[in-house]
Amino acid sequence: MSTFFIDYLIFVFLFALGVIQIAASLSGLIGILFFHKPFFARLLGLIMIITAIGWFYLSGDRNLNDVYGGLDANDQSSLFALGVIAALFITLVISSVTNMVRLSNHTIFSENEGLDSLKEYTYYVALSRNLSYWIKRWNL
Amino acid sequence: MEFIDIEIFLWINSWVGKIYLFDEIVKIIVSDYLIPVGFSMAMVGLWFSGKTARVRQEYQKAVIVGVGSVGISNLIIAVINNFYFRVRPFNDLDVSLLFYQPTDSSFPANPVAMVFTVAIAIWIVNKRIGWVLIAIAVLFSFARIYSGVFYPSDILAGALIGIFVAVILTKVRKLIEPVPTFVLKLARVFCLA
Repeated sequence: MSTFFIDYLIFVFLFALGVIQIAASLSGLIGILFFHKPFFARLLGLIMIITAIGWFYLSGDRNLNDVYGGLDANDQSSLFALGVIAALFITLVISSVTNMVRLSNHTIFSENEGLDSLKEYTYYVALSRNLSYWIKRWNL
Repeated sequence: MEFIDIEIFLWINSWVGKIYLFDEIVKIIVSDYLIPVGFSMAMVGLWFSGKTARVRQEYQKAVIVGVGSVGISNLIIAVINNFYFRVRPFNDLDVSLLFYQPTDSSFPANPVAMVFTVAIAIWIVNKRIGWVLIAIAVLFSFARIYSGVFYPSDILAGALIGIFVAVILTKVRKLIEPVPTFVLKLARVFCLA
């Protein structure tokens, strides 16, 4: 695997981490924020995006044909999907741990609220409750 | 018509080398990664945006339409390229090149179709973000001509394909409503929609 592959993957990963933090903070999904205060989550998101772009473009020539070490369209889309999924996974894991104490005192849970449940719960809590709701509903 | 196309191209490309800093900025804008990845990230961001569940659901359906539109645009361009292959400007003309030499067909501009597809799919549900993306798509298109890799008509055709596909797919979304609805229901089980 060429370094361009890895560089692009890291670029997408950091970019996606930043975008998710900014979007989640703007829509009040505090359960997946790395910081308690939305302002800091937005700041962190912005720093991640700027770092991703700055590092990617300052660390080498990125105008390369795929024949000479660049990425073709298929590689680009697959690595993009991989980078975004990795960023989402890391976001959900880290935010579940960092918000565990802060968001553990809520007792009322509306089932099947989807992303909205992340306004009050960590992803881990929301997912486990949501899955048990669906398992009960489907009599599994 | 082709004469006008070439004249406009040569006039825009003739500015290369006059302002060093501008050329350096264009080299970043024109790259295969910054704007296309940025536009894809706009869709990722839109997925998590929206203050209410109802608004978010509209955004998420737009993201699904956007992804589908990009696929269909690529398909249309692949079909066109099977019947018509236009060589790049740098193959025929004396061009100042700020980009690598692509080997695929110049007409229609595939990356331009992609950015316009995404911009319009988002513009339909969120005018504010949509206008910003359209402005960036225009800048990206200009940069592709300026850097010597596309003729203006390639850009125009790519943009029209992108806009057309995004609008049509949004219009016929009702017909394929079960598909995005199913995707969203499944994602909601895992608290991801």
